[in-house]
Amino acid sequence: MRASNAFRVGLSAVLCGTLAVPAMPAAPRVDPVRPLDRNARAELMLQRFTFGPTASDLQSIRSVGIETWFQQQLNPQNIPDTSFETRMDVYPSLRMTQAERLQRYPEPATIRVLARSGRLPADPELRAIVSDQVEFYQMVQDNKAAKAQPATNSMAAPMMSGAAEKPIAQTTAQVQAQAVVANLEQTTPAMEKPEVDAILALPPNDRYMQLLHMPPAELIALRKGARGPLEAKLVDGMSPLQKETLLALSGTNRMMNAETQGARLLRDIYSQRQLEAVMTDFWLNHFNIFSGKDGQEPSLIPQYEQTVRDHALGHFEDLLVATAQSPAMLRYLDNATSTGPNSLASQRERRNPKNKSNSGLNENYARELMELHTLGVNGGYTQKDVTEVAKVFTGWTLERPYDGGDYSFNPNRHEPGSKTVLGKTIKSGGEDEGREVLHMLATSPATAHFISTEIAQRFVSDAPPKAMVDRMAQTFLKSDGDIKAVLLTMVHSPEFFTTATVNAKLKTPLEYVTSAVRASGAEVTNPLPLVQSLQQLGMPLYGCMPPTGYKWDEETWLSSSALINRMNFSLALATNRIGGVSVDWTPVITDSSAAIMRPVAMTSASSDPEAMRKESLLEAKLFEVPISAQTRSAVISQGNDNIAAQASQQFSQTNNGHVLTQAEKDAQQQDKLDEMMMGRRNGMQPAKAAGGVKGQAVVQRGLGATPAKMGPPPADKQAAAMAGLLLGSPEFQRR
Amino acid sequence: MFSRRAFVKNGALALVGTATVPQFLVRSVMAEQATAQANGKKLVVLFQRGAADGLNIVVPYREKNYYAMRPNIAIQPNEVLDLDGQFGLHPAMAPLLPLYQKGHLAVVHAVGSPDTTRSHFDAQDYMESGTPGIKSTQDGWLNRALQAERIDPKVATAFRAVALGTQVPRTLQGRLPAVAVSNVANFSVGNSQGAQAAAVSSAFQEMYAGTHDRILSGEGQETFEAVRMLKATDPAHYQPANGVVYPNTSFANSLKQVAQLMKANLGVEAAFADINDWDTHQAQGAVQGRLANRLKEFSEAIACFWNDMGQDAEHITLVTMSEFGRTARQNGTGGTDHGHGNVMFVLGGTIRGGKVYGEWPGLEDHQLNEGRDLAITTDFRQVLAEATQHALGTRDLSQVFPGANLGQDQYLRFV
Repeated sequence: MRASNAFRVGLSAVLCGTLAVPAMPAAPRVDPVRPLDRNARAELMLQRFTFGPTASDLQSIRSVGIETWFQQQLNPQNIPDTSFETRMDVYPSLRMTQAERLQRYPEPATIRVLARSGRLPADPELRAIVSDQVEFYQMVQDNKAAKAQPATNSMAAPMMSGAAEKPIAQTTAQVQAQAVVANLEQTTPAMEKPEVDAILALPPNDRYMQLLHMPPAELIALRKGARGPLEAKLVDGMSPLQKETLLALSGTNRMMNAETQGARLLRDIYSQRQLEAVMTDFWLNHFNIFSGKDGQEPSLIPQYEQTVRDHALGHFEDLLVATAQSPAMLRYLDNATSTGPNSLASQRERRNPKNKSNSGLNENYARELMELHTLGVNGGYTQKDVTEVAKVFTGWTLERPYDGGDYSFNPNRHEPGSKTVLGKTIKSGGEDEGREVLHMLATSPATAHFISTEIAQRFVSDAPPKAMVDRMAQTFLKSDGDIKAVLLTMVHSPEFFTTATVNAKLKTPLEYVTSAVRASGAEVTNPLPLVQSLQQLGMPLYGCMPPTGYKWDEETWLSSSALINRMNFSLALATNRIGGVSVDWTPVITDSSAAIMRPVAMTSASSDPEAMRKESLLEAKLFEVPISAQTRSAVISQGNDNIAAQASQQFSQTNNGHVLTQAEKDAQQQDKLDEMMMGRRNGMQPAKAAGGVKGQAVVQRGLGATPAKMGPPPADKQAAAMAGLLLGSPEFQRR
Repeated sequence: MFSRRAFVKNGALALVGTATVPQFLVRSVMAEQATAQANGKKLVVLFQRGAADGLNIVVPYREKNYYAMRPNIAIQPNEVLDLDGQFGLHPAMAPLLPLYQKGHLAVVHAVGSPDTTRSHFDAQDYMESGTPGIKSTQDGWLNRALQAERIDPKVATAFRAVALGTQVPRTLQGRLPAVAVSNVANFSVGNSQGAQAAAVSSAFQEMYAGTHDRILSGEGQETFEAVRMLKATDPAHYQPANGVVYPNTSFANSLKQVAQLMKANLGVEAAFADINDWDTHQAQGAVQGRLANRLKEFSEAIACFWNDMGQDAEHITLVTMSEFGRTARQNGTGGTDHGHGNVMFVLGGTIRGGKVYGEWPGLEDHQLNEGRDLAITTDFRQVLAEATQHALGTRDLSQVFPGANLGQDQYLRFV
């Protein structure tokens, strides 16, 4: 749409300017911009303000009208969401406060501190959880010591059950130590079946306590002895909290990454509060953070997401302050460690000559605050402003993780004296300086324009009409950054409900995946394989390393690689080849009530009436607006059994011709997911992301991961393949 | 020696081993010939995203102020891998030292963008568009460089410009189609085995060819042509040459696939890959640590690529870039903040390597840019222009880098 219009406008200029322009292909049909009818408005609302329309959304928006529907969505607290909330029951840690979470599931840095201090929690359950991790950490440390000091005696041997009794010659011990930790998973023998069976026979509570008190090496042995279906049985009958606790034995970060990403995707797919979910995604991207920043970041993400959600439809300044004071942002952009060069803390440090000074100013947050969060890159600030703002925010830091890890202002680290920001003097005032600067930035016209442009780019088009953006910016300034008011101004702009907006946006991978799952009515029992698909499609959740966040534009997301990945994803989804997701097309193709046949291109060789009937029903299920006759004809003529039979091995695994058993496939799938949750992606250092020790294999010790089983093979392969083709069609790429 | 006859004998035609050569393969062979006639070379562009710390990559170890400004993170004179008595490589870059010593690797120091922005986003954008300070530029410099080449469009293949990753980077965006490949072995629709694969693929192909959505239609056609070409080269069974074993990192994997695509004679003229995580604001380390780990990954992958390409490396010009350098002084948290001047590498079989190019501005306080960063004495476009001219035979550089001052008197002459 955008390209076509641009083409028409620019055509005469191009012809006048250069005659050497190669002949363009036949001029495309350029429809004049028209307002939309009632149905098309409803469809557009859902395409823009949900993660993809569903049949029930359409029903509800038609019954109450678009204005009421939008008002309802703007006030999410009044929309009941119990069915989605029930899905969150399996993630108890996400309902804890940050302090509770950090206490029960300490992050790697805390484990190191506890290991050195030897101070373990008094509560027996917490003590068992923590001591397992401490013990494992010490095993790895001992091994490092053995490596570093070849002459000293090695402590690594006792970790091998059985080998502990007799002393081993030093050199052998060193060699073994290296091999053992590097390949703990391989070298630990699997627990014998009778022993596993004895554990399985215990009542759930006893079983839980026994598993919790197992030494690390024994847990590995058990995990190996109980691979496959037995692993799920180990946690049978346990409460969600007990299950989660056992999972966390693999490392807090792995568990936290799996829960935060899985829960976010489930919310986007199933929450009735769709606008809130969409706006939360918008702001999480605007105020981007990255789960692989360091070993602390994953534990801080749940609170960050909740903070952003709480303010997603509120006032911009509140959101800005909330992100500025959130532990996740303070860490991600390094402000937590920034210290005033003339602060008390720095002076003290300088007085101690032994101290390798590692504290001082860090400009990272100050720069991104102005460039990305508020004014925009052309917002009129200088390098001097960046340095001054960095001074303003010195002392904005967080408590130690084992003290709760919340935001706190540390006056000892704050740079004394007044500062000058954007020509204005900020009087010396400790923490208040930062609030004053945030207020100044939040109320700047540059910010109003920058935020309005970004909102319009997400909800209207890559190059939104200037008049509309200006109007939104005016509302932003007049309403003190009321995000609801800005959205209403956008929707009420005459440019919004027009044919120019329809399909102007290419779906991002997140929008593509969620809209496909929502349209198909798929049931997600384990979201992690979908989380993995997002990664393959180039848009992992909390996985964008630079502070810019992901772009929303077509240029970024359209490529050969992207198209191929999308086609393969859609085939895999429709034919139940993605673990943890199952879709059933039978009710769709047996629905006798709704069969309006849509026209097929004349070129179609197929006249198979059964294929045409199924296509028609599937199309009506997945698309509100009829697709092109060409797409329809391709679906009908190719929708045969062959396709379903070989539809997309791409998103599952192939193993050089060796046919894998289902158990092997499940195990492989689980390993891949584990690896992903450990942070082995985007070239990140896995050990760093997992908070492990560099250069050491991270060993899997957690138990009872929810299996990511694939759904049953489709009952009607033809229908499933046709649905896959429809979901991968050009029409489904846009919104 | 690489001759056209040898190519026809061993190249794409031999891969198929049949009299009925598909049209697209004929095109790729013709492309190889046309390119070979023009210059016989290929260009590889590597982007270090996040602003790599050039002062700790090629260390000016004679500068007293370098050590004064970086008390905890400096690389000591006895730790560097000496290049010329003035500069030395970071010790983690040992895999690249032999390439420098053999004269294949050239270093350009104090190089960068004349634009003063310290925004990652803007600086990358300017470097990739090739027009510092101008935001309205629609396409990338490498796309324009290929456009400027005099080549019959009929022989250009879908792989003429290829980017490793899920997205086409700004550098390669533009009128000339570029293909993004994240994994060559998986680059197909449905299962690539057997005749049935055609069914899925052709259904999608028909849809995308027929759609009125011009943008998706164009992308779809490019995609399916690329799939067909790649499939003919059996990408799943690639064996690197000379016993090279690439490390298991995403950057090494990208370079492995660049080698694979180039050796498959698919008509690749320009390839792009990037490596993330150079934004070392905090605890970047010295001889060991975060930056050292990045440099090790970076250097090992490039050395593997070079060795894997073997004889063909002669035809390759590889150039590295990063959006800006970092502050000359370490910051308060054991890292460095956003700076200005940086270092670039040029690697190639016909490069005058073994030398550090560029005028050195010095690191005394008064010599620093804005009192804090390495100053710039060479425009990054100069380096890219000479490399491009060498590799692609581009004559009219004003089209590639409009507004840049690229006169003969500016040439570094590393080619």
